[in-house]
Amino acid sequence: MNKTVSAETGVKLYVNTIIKNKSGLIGVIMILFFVALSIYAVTNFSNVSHQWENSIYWETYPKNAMPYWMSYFNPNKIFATEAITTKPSIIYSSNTYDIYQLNYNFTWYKEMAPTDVVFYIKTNSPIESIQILWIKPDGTNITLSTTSPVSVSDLITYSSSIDSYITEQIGYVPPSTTSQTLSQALFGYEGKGLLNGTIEKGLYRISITIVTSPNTKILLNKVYLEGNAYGLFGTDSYGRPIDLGILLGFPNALEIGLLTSIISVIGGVIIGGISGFLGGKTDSAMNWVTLVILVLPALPFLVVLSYIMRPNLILEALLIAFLSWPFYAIIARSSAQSIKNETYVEADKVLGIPSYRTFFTHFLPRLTPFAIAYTALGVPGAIILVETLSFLGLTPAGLVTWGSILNSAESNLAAVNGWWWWILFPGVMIILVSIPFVMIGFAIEKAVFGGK
Amino acid sequence: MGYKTYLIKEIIIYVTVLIAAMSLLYILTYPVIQEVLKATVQTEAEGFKQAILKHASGHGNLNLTSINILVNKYKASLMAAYGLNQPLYLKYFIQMKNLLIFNFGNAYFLTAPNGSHKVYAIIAAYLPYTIILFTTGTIIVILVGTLLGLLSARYAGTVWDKLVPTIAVVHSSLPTWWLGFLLIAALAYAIKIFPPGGITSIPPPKSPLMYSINMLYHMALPLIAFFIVNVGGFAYVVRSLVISTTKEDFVMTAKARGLSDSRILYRHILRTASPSISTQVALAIAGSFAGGLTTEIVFNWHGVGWLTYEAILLNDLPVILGINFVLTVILLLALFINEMIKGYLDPRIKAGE
Repeated sequence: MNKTVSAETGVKLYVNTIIKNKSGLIGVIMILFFVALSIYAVTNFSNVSHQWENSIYWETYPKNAMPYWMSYFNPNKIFATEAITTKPSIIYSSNTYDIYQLNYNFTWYKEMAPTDVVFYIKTNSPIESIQILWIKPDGTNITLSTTSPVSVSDLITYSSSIDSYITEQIGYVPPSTTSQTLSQALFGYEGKGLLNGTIEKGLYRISITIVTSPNTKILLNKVYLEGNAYGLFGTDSYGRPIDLGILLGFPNALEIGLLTSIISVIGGVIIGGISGFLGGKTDSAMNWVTLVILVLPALPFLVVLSYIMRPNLILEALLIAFLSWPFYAIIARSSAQSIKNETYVEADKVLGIPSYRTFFTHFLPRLTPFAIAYTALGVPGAIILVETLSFLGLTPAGLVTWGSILNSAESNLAAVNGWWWWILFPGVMIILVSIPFVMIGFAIEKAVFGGK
Repeated sequence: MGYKTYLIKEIIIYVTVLIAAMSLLYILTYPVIQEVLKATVQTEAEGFKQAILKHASGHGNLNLTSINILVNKYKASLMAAYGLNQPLYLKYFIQMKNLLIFNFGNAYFLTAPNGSHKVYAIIAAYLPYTIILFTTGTIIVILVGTLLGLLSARYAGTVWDKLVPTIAVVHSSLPTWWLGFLLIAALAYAIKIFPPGGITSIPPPKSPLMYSINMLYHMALPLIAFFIVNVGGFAYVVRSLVISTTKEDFVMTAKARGLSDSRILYRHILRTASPSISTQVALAIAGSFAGGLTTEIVFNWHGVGWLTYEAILLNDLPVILGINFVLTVILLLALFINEMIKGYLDPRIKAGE
């Protein structure tokens, strides 16, 4: 009997149990994959997470773009962003100012205009003036200019030039100036039907003339023809790629989930185990404490505490653990109570072995499988709770979480506008990360407690 | 020790637990509460001053100094009532007393539909909607979950048996609010079958019958989300309880007596397992009120969860604290009633063991 017990408590056995069980093995593989993704995210993209809330950083990305793989269904209407670059040529230079010219050529054969056109010119001193000549395949042209030149400009920056062009062509002021209509004006046939959706196909030419202070260098120049599809999971209203956000969410979700679960299960098992083991007055007192924490309404209470404390990741994990240990304490207590009635415990008592030794030799080893199973099962709950708090806007500062992505999806009316990728993928990730832990937990539970 | 002694003992435990839980809430939120109370006193004193000035302008027999004296007196009395000028231990007792008599002070910005600024009036106006939605949801989940759990326990090794653990995985890994969000995008905006949120259409229908039908129509989507997420978990609990009862000796005896499987299941196993199941039910209903916070927000269902969120957005701390107290009381009541029923049903307690 004793031999089998010591084998049962070995780490090797847990590994064997999990791996032998099919769903347990799948769970382990999935978790290893997620850990690899987390490490990849932390090592390669930690700088991106600081820029996540900075909308200027994402200016050159397409906004509300659907996943790129959608373009296989309709390549002429769903397409990715194209970026073109050129060699700047200096056409005038003096000791008061320099004039550069940038000439771009591109062909357009798609059924739709780009969602936006972004001009990106990075110089080592501010640009003083910028003028863009846009020549369509049939030779008609538009001149775009702005009163406040910036290094990154999109069509909204030039809306006054384009608006007057539209008014000139169709005879009335356009009802709305979204980047989509402005782009259509640059790609449609001149005349009354400028905005009716037909696209002029062929070779487009762009000639950008910029005036700068002397000795200015153009470091980078690009014209982005923004598509409506981007990456694996699309982008949000700020142009932030959802796939990147999901990748950045991995380390946080795993870290907080594991940390919370381990702290609360260890705390719960120790308190519940001691309580059930000792019995009597101590048991009543500890049970009372457990009940006090148990009756606190977890979610509203956490919301209040997160609101007041504005915790970082570790403190948030501790707060959640503080509210969840009673559940494990209750189960551990009843397990300890049933162990107490076993004959070997009574034998120890008769033999005069001190009670703390009985606790360590008989109780703790039998509570360990229970603790491991519940640690695995507790991870999803903790992850969901953290994502829920982020969804409510209570994200620890400087972190990108799936809940916070969903929060911005809700506040930007993603459901109303049909931007399904923004809602679907972050939520699917919460499920995908939770499932392997549940599977492992169930596998251990089944192996240790016999399941059925 | 009979049932009466047991009852008294339990009452003492639960009342002390309530006070302890509230003390914990008080300690953790102490600095904020002080701020809240000071602001409340300030607004009430300001209101009092305005009222006097309005009154005085009609008569013209009060000068500004005497008004200020009056206002300061009023302010001092308010400070005393909230215990702001008291030592720490007295502050604590006054706060506990205020909480226990549901005196949470005034809300900063939120008002009840009838215009009252009192926090208890605001909570009382929103709580019924939470109760309607989540009690209905929990009852449906309990009925279907118990049925699934029993089927799974009875037909061990068949599809039924595999189904329950699978949907239990869903329960542990799917956030209700996200499912709701997705369902709204799919079934309210992409395919327009259900309303995207709210309790009734605006304006609400006049006749009571149409009103309830309209409300049920608005409840459908949140109920679907709640059901999908929770039914698996409940079925899994029932299944485990039934399976563990099946291992008891009396089941073996019943089998030896040649009783039919269904008779053993319904008459013997279910009857024995029902107190444990009822504990789960009590906890599920009480817990759903607190846990439904985000679901209510997603579906724009104006219950306490939605109210909590509004209170957070508006920094309305008295409301947040009041809601926490009310939810704690509800959970404690559920546990207490459950304990009472269990004690009543358990012959060992009656016999005074």
